[in-house]
Amino acid sequence: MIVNDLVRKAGLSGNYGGITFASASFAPALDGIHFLYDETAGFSALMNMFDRNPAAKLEERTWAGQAVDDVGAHAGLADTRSGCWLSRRHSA
Amino acid sequence: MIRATHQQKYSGSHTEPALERSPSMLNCRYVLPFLLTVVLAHAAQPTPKPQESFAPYWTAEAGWDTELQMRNNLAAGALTVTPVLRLSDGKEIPLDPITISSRGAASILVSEALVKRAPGLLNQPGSFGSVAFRHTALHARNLAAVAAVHMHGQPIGYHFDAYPVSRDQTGGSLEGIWWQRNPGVKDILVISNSSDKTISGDLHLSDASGN
Repeated sequence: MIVNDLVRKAGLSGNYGGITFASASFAPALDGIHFLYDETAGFSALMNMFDRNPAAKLEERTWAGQAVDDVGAHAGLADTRSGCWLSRRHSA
Repeated sequence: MIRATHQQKYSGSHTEPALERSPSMLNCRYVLPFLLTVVLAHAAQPTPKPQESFAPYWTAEAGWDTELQMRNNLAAGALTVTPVLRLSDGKEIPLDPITISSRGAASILVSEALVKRAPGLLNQPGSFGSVAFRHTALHARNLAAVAAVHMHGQPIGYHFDAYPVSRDQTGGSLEGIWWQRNPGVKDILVISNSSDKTISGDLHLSDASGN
């Protein structure tokens, strides 16, 4: 999928926003990648995708001994939904 | 009986039962538990099982190539790995198995492997998908694997790590951020399914305000 096209079709404004791919079952079997490139400028970037498990318990919200919510706060993320954000396949 | 025997021993009696001092009986007391421990420990040892790791993307479309990089994490023992390319429709193309010595690494150039296995896919639109790395080991993480995708003649490339396939049936989501740096930047999102089941999902895009 070309995200720029989807953003344009959705009529979203601004130059950044959120992506969510949600599945009601077997979500851990899914993996996603998101990358950018501009061959004219010689530019490329790999955009991180994170797993979110809405059933994760509080004690599972750790990332290198630090609460994942804290990591999100340091990274400027603000999401008030319940659940856990983990780095790619942190829980595998 | 044991207490009586000890009392006899400490009192210096010479009437201890002959059985208590028998070397064969002593052997039985110490050797049998030892043998039992050895047998149980051997029975509890895990045996290697088929394992599968999964990298979400490879491509051999025009202008692109992919290198499959694998490392054997075992301190001792070789791993034989079969990389399997999956197309976006789920069709599998097994590549030649490769044996990697302990702590060794190996690399496969997908374009060269496809020349042998499916030359019609080279440089074609739609020649992309996910990669499964199959091997037999105690744990899937005995193998570290990566699909390294790069654009020909450009400083543009990406590493996509492989992870053990999950059979977990729970719901959840993948989350990310879209970013339009400037109009010339191409922006690709790929969602891959590592299971043998059809999984449905919903894609939501939002602006910076969450709308």
